[in-house]
Amino acid sequence: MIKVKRSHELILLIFFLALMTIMSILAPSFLTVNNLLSVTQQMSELGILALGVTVIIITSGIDLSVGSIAGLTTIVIATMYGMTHNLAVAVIAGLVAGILCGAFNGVLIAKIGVPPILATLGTMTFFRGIALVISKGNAISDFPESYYFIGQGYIFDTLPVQTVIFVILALITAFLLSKTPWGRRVYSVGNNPVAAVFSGVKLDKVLLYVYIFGGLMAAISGWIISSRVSTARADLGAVYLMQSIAATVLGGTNIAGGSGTIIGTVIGVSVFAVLGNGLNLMGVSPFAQNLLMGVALILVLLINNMSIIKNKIVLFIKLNFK
Amino acid sequence: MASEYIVNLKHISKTFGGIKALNDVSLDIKRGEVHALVGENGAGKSTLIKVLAGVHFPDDGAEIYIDGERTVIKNPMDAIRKGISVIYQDISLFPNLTIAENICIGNDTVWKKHLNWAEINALAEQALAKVGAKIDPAMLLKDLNLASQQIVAIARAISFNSSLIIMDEPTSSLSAGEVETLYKIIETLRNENIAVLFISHKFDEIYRVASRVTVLRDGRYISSHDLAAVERQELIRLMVGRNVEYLTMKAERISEQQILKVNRLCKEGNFYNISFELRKGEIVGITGLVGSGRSEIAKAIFGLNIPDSGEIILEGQPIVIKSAADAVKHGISYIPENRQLEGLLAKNSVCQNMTLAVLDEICKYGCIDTKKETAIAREYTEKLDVRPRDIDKPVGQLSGGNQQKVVLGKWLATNPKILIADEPTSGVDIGAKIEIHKTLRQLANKGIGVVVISSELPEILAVSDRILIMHRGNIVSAMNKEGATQEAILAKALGA
Ligand SMILES: Nc1ncnc2c1ncn2[C@@H]1O[C@H](COP(=O)(O)OP(=O)(O)OP(=O)(O)O)[C@@H](O)[C@H]1O
Ligand SMILES: [Mg+2]
Repeated sequence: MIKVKRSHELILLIFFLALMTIMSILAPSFLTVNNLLSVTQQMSELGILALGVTVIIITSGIDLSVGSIAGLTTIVIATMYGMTHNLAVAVIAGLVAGILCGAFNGVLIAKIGVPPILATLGTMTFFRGIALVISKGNAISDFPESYYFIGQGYIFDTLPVQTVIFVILALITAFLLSKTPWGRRVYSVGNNPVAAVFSGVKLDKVLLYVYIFGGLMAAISGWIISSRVSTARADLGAVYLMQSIAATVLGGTNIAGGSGTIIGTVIGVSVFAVLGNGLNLMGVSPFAQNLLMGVALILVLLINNMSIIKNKIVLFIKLNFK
Repeated sequence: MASEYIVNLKHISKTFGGIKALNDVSLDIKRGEVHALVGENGAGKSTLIKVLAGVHFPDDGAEIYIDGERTVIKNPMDAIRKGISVIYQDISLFPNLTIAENICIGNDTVWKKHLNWAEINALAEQALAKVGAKIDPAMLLKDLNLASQQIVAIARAISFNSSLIIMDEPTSSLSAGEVETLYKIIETLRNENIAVLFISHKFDEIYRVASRVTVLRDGRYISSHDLAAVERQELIRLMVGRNVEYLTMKAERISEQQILKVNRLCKEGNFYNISFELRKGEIVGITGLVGSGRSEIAKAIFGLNIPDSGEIILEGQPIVIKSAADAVKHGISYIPENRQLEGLLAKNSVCQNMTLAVLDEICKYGCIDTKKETAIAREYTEKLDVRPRDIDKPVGQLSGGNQQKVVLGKWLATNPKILIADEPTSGVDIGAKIEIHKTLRQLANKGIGVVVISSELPEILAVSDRILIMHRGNIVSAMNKEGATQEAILAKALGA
C-alpha cells in the first residue's frame, strides 16, 4: 500500500540503512531483536506526535501546541482518574481534551483566520497554563497498575504495545492521506488554497479536521508517555515539539505545504531514534548526541537538495571557467 | 556602428528531464522592431524567452549575441543589465511594495546602499511618464489592476534602459480598451528604438503591432517572415501544419426551459441590478471591459462573492449559494479567469487536478477509486488534447495553454447543469481554441446552459447565441447573435 515512489524517500531510506550499518558495526549490541524492538518503543511517542504534525504541515500550517496538548492530556487523565477511579472514563476524557484543543486551534485558524504559527504559539502557552492550573504545577503519579500496560506492556511478551499502536496509527494516517478524498483535499489546500476553494473544497472544514487530528495524535502520544513514566506532568511532551517538526521535514514534507508522506515521516523519526539509541549504546554523551543529530539533519537536507546544488555548481563552473 | 540586430540566438536547445523543449532554434531581432513569436501550445515560446532572460540556461552549443557580440546570460539580473527585460504572463512583481520601489529595485543607478527616495520617485515618475501612465508611484502594486501592473512592468523595463522588451502574451488578461493602451505604448517604444518581442495567439493583434514574425513548431525553428509578405492563413499553416479557421456553430435546439434566472442582483462596487436568464442548450456570451463586473457576477453565481441583494433562480427554484461547494452541489461550474491563482495546483499531477472537483463521485467505500480517477483524467486529456498526454506530470510543467486545458477538463468532469467559463481560451492556440469552442457547443447541445465571459470579440461572436454587454457594473445591452458586430459591441462596452 505504501510505495516508496519519490526519490527523496529512497535517498532517506539509503541514508537510514547506512546509519543502521554503521551503528551495528560500532555498537555490537545494537543489531539485536530486543534492542531494535526497544528502538521502536522509544520512537513511538515522537512518531505518533509527528503523524499529526505531518498532516498539518502538508496544509502549509504548523502546530506548536502539540507538546502542550500531550502534557494537558496526561493531567486530565490523572485528574479524572483521581475523581472517578475509572480508568476508561479518565482516558476517554484525556483524548476528548486533546480533540477539543485541536478544535480550538482549528477554529482560530480556519474560521477566524489567525495564521497557524501565531494561533498555536498562543495556545501552546494557554494549554500548558490550563494543565498547570489543574495540577497546581505538581506531578501526579497515583495510577493503577493496569494503566502501565499501554506504555510499558508487551504483546506476546515481545512486541511493545506502543509500537503496535504507532504502526496502526501510521497505517491509518497513510491511508487517509493517500486514498481518501479528505487526503486529497489536505494536499490541495497546502498547494494552492485559493484554487482549492474555487474547486469546491471547504477550506475551513478541511483545516478544522486537520487540527483536530493533530490534537488527537498529541493526546494519544501524551497518554502513552504518562503510562511509560507512570506520571502525569504538564511539561511531558514538550521535548518532542521541535523533534516532531524536524522529523517531519527530514522525512521530506515540504515546510511550505502541498507535499509529504507518512512513510517519509516514519523514516525521519526512525533516523532520530536509531541515532539516539546507537549513540547511547556507544556511550556518547547526551551533549555530543545533540550535536550529531543536528549534523545528520543538515546532511540529509543537503542530500535532498543535491540536484539543485549540483546544477548551481555546474552552472558556476560553466560561467567562470569556460 | 552598432549592429543591425539587437539579439541573435543560434543553436538554442533546452532539455527538461530528457525531453527537448527547444531543438536548435534560432531567432534574430532587429534594433527597434516589433517581432512576433508564434507557435502552438507547448511549441517552446516561453522556454525560448526564458533562455534569453537568464531564467533557463541553454544546453551546450548555444550561441547568444547581443548587439553583435557573443555573450552569456548568467541570470535574470544579468539579462536586465544587458538590456533585456521580460514582462511575464503572470507579471512577477512585488505586490506589497510601492510602484516606485517595483520600478527601481535592483537598478544600480538608484538602488544603492543608502536609498534616496527622492531619486527613486523621480526615476519612477520619469519612466511612468514615458509610457504615458498617470499612476501615483507611492501606491502599492497590489492596489492596481492587472493592466496597470503590466504598465508598471513596462515602465520598469524602460527605466533599465532596455533595448529589448519581451512580452509573453501581454494581452491575454486585458480588455479591449486596455489593449489599445498597450498598443500605444508599444508604438512609443518603437519610436524610442526599443525592440519588442511579442508572444501572442491572436492574429489580429500580431498583424496590428508587429512587423516581423518567427514561427516555432514542436520546439523547432520553422521560419521568419516580414508580416507584410505573409498571409494569415499561411502563418497558421506554418504553425499548426494544416488549415484552421474560426467557425460559428449554431445552437441545435435551445429549449424554452429556463435553467438559470438572475434577478436584480446587486453588489455595491461590483455590479448593479443584474437580471438575465439562461435557457437549456443556450450559450450566453458576456463581454465588456475588464473590471466592468463580468467575473464578479460569475463569482456571485458560484458562491464566491456574496451579493447584497437580488435572487438566483435555478430551474424555477430560488437558491442560496454560500460557497463554491454549494454551487458545485447545485450543478454549477465556474472556470476561473486566472488559472495560476484560482485554477491550478501547480505541484500536483494533471490527474489530481482534473478530479479535484469530483472527489466524492469517484469514491468507492470512502476511498478514491483509482481506476475511475485515471479514466476521467484520460478522457479529458484526450478530449481536450492536452499535450503531452501524461496524466502524472505536475501541471506546473505544462505550457500555459495546456494548463488552461487542464482547468477546463476539471470542470467538464463535474457534468454540470450550468457552466460558466471565464476567458476559457486565454493563452490557448488557434487550433485548440476552436476545439474548445466546439466542446462548449457540444455541451450546450446536450442541454447544459453555458455562459462564456470573454474579452475577445471574435470569440464572443463565434460561440454565443446571445450577447450581454457590460459597462461599469451594468448590463447595458443584449444582442442576438444575428446582426451583432464587433464594432457595435465595442461601442456599447466603452459606454457609448
Ligand atoms: N520546467 C519545466 N519542466 C519540464 N518541462 C517543461 C518545463 N517548462 C516547460 N516544459 C515543457 O517544454 C515544452 C515547451 O513549453 P513552453 O512553455 O515553452 O510552451 P509555449 O510555446 O510557451 O506554449 P503556450 O502557448 O501554451 O504558452 C512543453 O512541452 C512543456 O511541457
Ligand atoms: Mg507560454
